[in-house]
Amino acid sequence: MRGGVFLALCFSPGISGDPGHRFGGAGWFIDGDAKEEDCPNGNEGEVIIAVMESLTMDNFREIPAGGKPFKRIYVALMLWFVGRAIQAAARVDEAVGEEFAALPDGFTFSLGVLPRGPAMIVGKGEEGQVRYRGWRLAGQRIDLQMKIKNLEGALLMFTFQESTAVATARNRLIVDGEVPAACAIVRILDRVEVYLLPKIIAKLAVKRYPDWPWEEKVGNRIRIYAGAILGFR
Amino acid sequence: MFQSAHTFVFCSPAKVLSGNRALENLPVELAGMDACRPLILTTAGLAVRGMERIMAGAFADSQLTVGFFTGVPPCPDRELVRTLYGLYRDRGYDSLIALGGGPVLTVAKALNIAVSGEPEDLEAAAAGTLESKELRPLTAIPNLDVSGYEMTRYADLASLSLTAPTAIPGLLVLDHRTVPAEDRKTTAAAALLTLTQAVEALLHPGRNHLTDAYAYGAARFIMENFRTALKNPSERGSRLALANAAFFAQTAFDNLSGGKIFCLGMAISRRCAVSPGLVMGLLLPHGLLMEMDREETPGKDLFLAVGGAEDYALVEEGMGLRKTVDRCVELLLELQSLIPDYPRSIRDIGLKKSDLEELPGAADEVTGRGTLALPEVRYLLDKAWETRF
Repeated sequence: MRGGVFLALCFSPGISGDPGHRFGGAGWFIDGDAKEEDCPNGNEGEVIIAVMESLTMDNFREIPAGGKPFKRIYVALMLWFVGRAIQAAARVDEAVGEEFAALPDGFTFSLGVLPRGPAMIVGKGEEGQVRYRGWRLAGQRIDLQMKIKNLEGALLMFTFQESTAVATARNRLIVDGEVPAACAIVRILDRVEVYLLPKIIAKLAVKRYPDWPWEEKVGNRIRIYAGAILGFR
Repeated sequence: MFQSAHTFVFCSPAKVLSGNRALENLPVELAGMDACRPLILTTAGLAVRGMERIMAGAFADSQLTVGFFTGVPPCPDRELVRTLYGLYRDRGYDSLIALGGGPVLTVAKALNIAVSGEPEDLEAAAAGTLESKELRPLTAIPNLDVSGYEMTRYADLASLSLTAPTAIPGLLVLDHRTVPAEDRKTTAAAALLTLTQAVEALLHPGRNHLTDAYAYGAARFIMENFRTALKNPSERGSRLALANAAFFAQTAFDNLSGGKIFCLGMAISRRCAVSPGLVMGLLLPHGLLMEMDREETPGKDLFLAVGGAEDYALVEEGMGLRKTVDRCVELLLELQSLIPDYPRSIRDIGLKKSDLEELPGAADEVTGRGTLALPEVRYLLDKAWETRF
């Protein structure tokens, strides 16, 4: 489902009150102790509406959806850092570089949270260089959108309670784009998480923890962290 | 094995979201159904258990405003549907969410029929002629206080018995937060009602591969999880398993029909105002013993569902049904040891000898019934009256 379509679906039906229809017709709803003959002077509609209001208002309220600002900030920070780490890893790690090399030039993907973000956008330039392109989806041509269905699902992923593979299996993600490209991005995310996280946490975040030489892992980890924090390109 | 192995109809229109944080998917699922202004219906009992806060949390960050009605009584009537009809239309809602078991789903189905077309459509549903009219989005979030009709086409609204295939909720959400721990008797009743629906589906002459699959899943979930759910109600996985089992069994039931145990159990429960599951549990062993005389009874298949694969492998040919009866009796005795005031006979629930004459006729009027042989129902009732577990 595309973001634009998703927003367009949220229309207001604009149904207005229709007392004539509500209480008219075959009189199906007129029963029990609210019969028409109980309403003298021809103002039965008002009487019934008064009964209706007394019945509903005690038990009815409208709840505006609140927000989860701290969770949003945490996920936004994680996405920002992971986006910049992917940029660094494409240069530092050979396997990540190869994954990006197999994607077409100009390929751009986003990983975000429905319904209104946060998100991260990473793209491959015309000359093959990988760039973190911020979080604003508007005005960008996105080839592959990976959308986490809600903030709680994103929190499960980014607190490493669920790996990307498990989250996908539990239907927490919507992918809009080519599946092979999405699989490549998941593999890239897995490798980046192994670099970013200590082993005890990374084992929770990835499907299978790789057995890499420690000097290579530590060396690349330092370079990726430096790249992500300082924004080296 | 089956009447016709390759010619059958099976319908299960519900999308199921089950598990940790399933509730938070509601905004995106509603958007997928072209809905953005839901009205939530629930009972006062569930509201005081913090459901409003949980639902508000599920919609947080979605920028939606939801209506929350907490006044569904245990026995809803048309007056309530009329009230909610006005509320729904006047405030511009476009979908319904039923949070809770039996009565909530009953009201939600009736209201959905009314608001999706005209109120007069309820008369068509009562006559069983509302076959294919598409209804507005209805989401079910049931708990363990089940009536057996939640995910079916049926709804009993006071004296009105509605039947509409399209009234089955299109979305079912099962999250451990909305399946709270109930008292032991309610949990046991839910398990026994579900087990009865599953067992009767496995014995039904019109069963097919898919109803068998659903009924098998329901029976296994019940047998593997009811002990944990009763002994340790805070164990969320077992509660969720029972709620899933109820959906499986109700789907099989909806595609077939209620048998004599289900119908008689419903009739007795209405007469004595007790949970139908408790009554069905007492009738189940007798109902199964009556099946032993039939040649075509799939006793061994039934024991695979009730007893599990390991015990099934040890059962001799022709002993499946007997072993199933034994397992059901063991289950009843176990429940009696866990729940001090658990009934040992249908005499313990306030049934009188004089009621026995009228009950077969009442069973023949239960919603969702199949073709009942009244002499068999009478025999089943007599046996249950004589027995004390």
